[in-house]
Amino acid sequence: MAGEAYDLTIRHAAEALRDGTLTSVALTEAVLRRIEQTEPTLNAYITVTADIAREQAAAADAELQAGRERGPLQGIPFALKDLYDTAGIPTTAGSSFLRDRVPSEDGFVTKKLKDAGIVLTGKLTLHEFALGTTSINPHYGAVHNPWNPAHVSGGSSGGSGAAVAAGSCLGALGTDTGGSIRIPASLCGVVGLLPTYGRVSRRGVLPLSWTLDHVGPLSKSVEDAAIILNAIAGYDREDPGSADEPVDDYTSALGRELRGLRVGLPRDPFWQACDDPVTAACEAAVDVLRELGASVSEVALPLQAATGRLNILWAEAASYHIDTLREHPDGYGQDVRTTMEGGLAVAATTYINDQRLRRKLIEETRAVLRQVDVLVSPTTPHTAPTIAAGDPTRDLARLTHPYDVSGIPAVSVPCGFDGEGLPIGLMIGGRHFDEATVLQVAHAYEQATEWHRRRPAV
Amino acid sequence: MSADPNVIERLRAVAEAAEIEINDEGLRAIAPTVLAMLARPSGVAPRDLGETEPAFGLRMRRE
Repeated sequence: MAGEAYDLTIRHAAEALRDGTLTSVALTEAVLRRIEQTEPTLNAYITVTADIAREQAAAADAELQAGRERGPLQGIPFALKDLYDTAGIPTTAGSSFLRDRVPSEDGFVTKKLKDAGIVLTGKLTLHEFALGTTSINPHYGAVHNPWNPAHVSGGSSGGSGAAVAAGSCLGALGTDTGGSIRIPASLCGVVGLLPTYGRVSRRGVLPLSWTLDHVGPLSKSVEDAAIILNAIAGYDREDPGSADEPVDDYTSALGRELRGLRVGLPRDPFWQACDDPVTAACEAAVDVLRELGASVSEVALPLQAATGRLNILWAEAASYHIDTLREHPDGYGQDVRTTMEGGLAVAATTYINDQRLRRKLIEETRAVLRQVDVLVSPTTPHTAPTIAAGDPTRDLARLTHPYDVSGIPAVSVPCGFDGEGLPIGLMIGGRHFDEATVLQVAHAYEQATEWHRRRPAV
Repeated sequence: MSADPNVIERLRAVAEAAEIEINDEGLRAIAPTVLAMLARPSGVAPRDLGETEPAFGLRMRRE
């Protein structure tokens, strides 16, 4: 096996665990050493569960030796954003209030991942209560970007992006309400997948905004994202937003050619006001898709610019936090407190009218996705800002939030670097419950380029 | 009730205490809302920080 074990994709590690060239114990030890090596720089973890990981790795090796097959996540070092309930392990949501909160039960997807045989390496740092795009956390410290520690890792799943990029886990889960999976994926040079709203249960995940929250993976490759989605997708009758729709094998379309596939470029507003290196890298990526046989046309989504003026997220977040916000406002970081207090001022009629407008936004997106198969744009208008620059939350989420509002699936895949060596992400969105096509396009692009093979020097 | 001069007068006092400029027309416009909020100052639903059961959601469908 060439290279470091922690640099393997889940697919390659799963193969190595089965052909006898690697054990889960050895892989887990390599990842735990990598965590020790990188944490002083990155701060990607709030809690490292080394003892649990060692036990689970030994159990995975025993099961594999005995021929008990659980699938490709078996024995794979994996980490969760610290928003996911994990029985017996602190789950803080990046908050001072919940520093000592230890759930008694696993959340729905935590259980699914355990059933799939993951080795849990720990809980990952996030923007406080997942409400922000930088993961500069006043209570647990800022997450630093593995490509340049002076820069943010993005957020709110910043620890997930940084840990996957650095190899301090092989895969991770984040959550996405305004872009919180895709933004750190883009800024850290990894793959981040927003599944269709309702595709993955949110039960046992601390909420930010019930009608916008999504659960999804961050990984080193598109195939790994598909593997993780296979393990966590499915109906949960206890989640009122969960969809009782058939679950595909999300790896099945990988490798299919793109000839005949229709790519739409939503120039307005998804390509507007982006930095030049971002636009250039994404235009080059579109050329690659064209060379792979896809037909490319421009499409219009003019209503989507209104997404930035919606109050749904702020109002729902404020309703969850209202008592704590009134009784202990100083316990929140300044940025989160300011945003939440703004949410308290949203009138019920404004919230309802925003949901009415949302229906029009969803219909507009659906109509365009009858003309084309996928939508392609930059993921973020800029590369990672410096930690010193503060909080550009609204602008970093400008291109990602519309897909949370529409509830369509979207993936961010690495598509280049700017002049400072910071990663750029390409976003590919598709029809509701058509993650397979989104992943097919992302995989074809990924395999035609070399960006995903680069690793940060942290 | 919401147009009662006493109510408007007292709302003006509140606005002045908070150093908010608002004319009588504005006070008469918000008075019904303020009175409704006074009658129902807060909801009765439990709101525990740390609750992870999803409260509600949308239903998406496949085309």
